Amino acid sequence: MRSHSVSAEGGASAVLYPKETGDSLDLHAYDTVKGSDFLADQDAVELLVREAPKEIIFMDHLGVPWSRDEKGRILQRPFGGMSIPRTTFAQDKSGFFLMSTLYDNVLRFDNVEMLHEHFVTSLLMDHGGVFRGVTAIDLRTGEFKVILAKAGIIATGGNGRVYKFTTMAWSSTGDGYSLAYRAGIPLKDMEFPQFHPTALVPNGILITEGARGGEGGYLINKEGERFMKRYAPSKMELAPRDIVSRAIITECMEGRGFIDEESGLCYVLLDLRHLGEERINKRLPMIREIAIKTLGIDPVDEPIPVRPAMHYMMGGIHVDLYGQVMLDEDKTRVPNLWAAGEAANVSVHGANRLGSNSLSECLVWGRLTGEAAAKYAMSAPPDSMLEYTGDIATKVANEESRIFDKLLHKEVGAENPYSIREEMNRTMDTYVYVFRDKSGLEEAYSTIKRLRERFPNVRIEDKGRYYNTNLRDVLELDFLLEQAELIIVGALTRTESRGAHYRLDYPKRDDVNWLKHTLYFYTTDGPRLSYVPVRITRWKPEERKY
Amino acid sequence: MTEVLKYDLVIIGSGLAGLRAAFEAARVSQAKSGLLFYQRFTQ
Repeated sequence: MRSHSVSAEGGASAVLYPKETGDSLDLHAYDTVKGSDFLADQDAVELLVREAPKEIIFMDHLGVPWSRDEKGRILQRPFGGMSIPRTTFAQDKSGFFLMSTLYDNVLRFDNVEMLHEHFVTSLLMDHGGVFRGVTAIDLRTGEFKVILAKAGIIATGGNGRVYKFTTMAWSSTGDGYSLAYRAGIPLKDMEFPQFHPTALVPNGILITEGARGGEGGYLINKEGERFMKRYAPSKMELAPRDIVSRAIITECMEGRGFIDEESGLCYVLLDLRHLGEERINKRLPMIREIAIKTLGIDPVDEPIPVRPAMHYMMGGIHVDLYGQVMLDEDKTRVPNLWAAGEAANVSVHGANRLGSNSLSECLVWGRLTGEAAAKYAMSAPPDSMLEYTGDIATKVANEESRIFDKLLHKEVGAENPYSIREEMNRTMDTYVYVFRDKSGLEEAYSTIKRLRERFPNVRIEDKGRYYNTNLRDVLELDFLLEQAELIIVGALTRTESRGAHYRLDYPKRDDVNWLKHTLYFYTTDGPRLSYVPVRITRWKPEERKY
Repeated sequence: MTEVLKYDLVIIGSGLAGLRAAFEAARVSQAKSGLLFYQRFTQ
């Protein structure tokens, strides 16, 4: 069990105690819409906040050991941009406990078969825009397989590894985005990667927002100042991630940061010392362990070095309100395909996700899509959908040839894929980071285009079949390069600043021209962009202040 | 000869959303689901 979800630390948002705290579904929705810089689809946000409490209780009943107070009541703590403490947590290992509990419970069912170590290489769609299955490599044997199905759900997570400095797992290569995109399914809002303000320097490991927000850690610059007072005087360290990230980089740009000698990275300090050893051990034990083991710094005694890192992709596969995959702007759905979690863009996060809303999103749309896809599979489609003939067989043959003839068994190849990946990472970290501008994005675009031109000439040294990580790395690099290009094209085109997308040359939000979602359609000449309006139900766009 | 596997439902991904979907699909129906896991142990 190694998905990136297992690394989630902070918790899942939900309104649990409205009478006691004054919280409400409306307030959770408003916080989320405001946090999104008004790019979120508000009907989706309302669905999220309505269903999230049920999921917290459901997971409690399933066995998640949520942290509790002395009376046994589930605890909640504040997170950035939230008006009221509503982040439900299990110490600072929330993702681990959620995953362990679900995995154990899925094992109870005889009708779920787990195909471990299978790497999906393509989606199989027929000419009528119907999903028919996938092709995959069983990494343990190198065997190429066809998996046919009456319905499918894409839940492949995000693409943090487009960047070098990221909190995300090595497996977060956004395969699902490229699988869908190449199959003719549009992606949405890919210009919005989220940068988490507090990743450990120099290794990029996440330091949960629960540390600076929920538990009350301070961000300190080189002058010993709590600098957030200049950027978000009322919320301070509890401001949303886009604002805190820009504040940290501004401190660095103006000479008030520290420089890490090993990496050359600029950073500020996260000071937890005033919390005391007992509270740190109780609420943030993993943070303490990570800092001690990877840096030799005990946060009980010393502040820890942090800076923003790529953490989450707000964009994703274009889906409707219930997670069903769309084939065009707003009319045509794939009848038997859904997407959920970070792979999907149901648009609850808009231009900036609030911390702890993503675990809730995974639970809510995991349930909705699981139920819808299973019911579809059991009711509608004929067994002929599972026939391996004609067009589908031809597509499989072409895919097998692409991987084994044109990549693995190619005789020559001058390009080292790891050098290409390094250059892609460096380019994205430099030019497509917290602050962007036209010249930097154009530089990034031309570099990624050159790298994509070099890719067909990559060399795979390992010609074997058994657990060929060299081949896997090359397949992932192909996906990553494609997504880097999409992020840059979207960022270049969106001539405004909104949420996590900040253009130095267009520093204002522009609702007249850009209160809309970007769609990316695949063409052989690069992405074709289109736009769909933001669905606004109750909250009119307003100036965003904290 | 390429091996062909057949399911009612295939879920691509084993993270929180994928596992939650697998649980719900199994709970509400007798659909035979294939849950595709991809674990990565190396950099």
